Amino acid sequence: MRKAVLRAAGILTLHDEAAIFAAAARRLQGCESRPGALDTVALLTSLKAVVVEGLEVVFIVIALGAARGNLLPAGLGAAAALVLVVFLGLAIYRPLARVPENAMKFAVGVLLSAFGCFWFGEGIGLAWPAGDLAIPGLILGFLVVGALAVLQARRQATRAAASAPAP
Amino acid sequence: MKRLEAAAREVLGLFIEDTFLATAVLLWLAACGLLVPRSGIDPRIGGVLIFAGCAAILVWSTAKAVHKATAHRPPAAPDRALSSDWKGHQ
Repeated sequence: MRKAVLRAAGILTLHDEAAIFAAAARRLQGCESRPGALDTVALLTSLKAVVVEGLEVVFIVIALGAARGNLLPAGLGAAAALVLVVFLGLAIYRPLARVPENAMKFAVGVLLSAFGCFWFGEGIGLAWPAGDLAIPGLILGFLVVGALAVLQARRQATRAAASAPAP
Repeated sequence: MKRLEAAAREVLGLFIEDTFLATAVLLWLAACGLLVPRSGIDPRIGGVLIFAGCAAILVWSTAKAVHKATAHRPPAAPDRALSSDWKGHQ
């Protein structure tokens, strides 16, 4: 979320995912392994692409399942989510590719922060006001904070540019 | 050895984007986890504390990043950068 805020404020340059993909593909083209041999470059590239999200899922399943003794339903839920994500990815990857990358990262950051806060509170035994309905409130809260952080970062950058000595 | 170090740095970089942000959030959550259940604070206020602390750390971290970036180079035009992100894809 921090990076998305900084990109939206113009402090970091925006990603061009298509160009990054093309450059990475070009770099990896000379690394093909022999036919039949284990393709370690492909293995490491795929691992790097999914290890963070995979570990997040594992942590969430363990946190939710172990805390209430529901490891099996939590695991089944994660498996069902995997099937759903693969299906949705195949079905709507074209329109998804048109969503601005930074807007999507901002939204994902807001959701992760809100769910992270909620689950942490649950973990230490807090009673959230309105129970599960606190989640939309947290989402709204982080959305507002993110938008304010963008405004503040822009104002700070403008002030710094105005006070910088002329070249 | 250098390759191992580079690999370790790469893996760590997948999880930690900014050391200050990661450390501050962990410390804040640890403090909340230790103190809120034992201090007799209303659990509803505990939730607000968790949210407010994380939000404040995020704003602080972005402010630090802006300060660092603007100390070394003139900033990109904020309005243009934002509009190219949002309007260019509509």
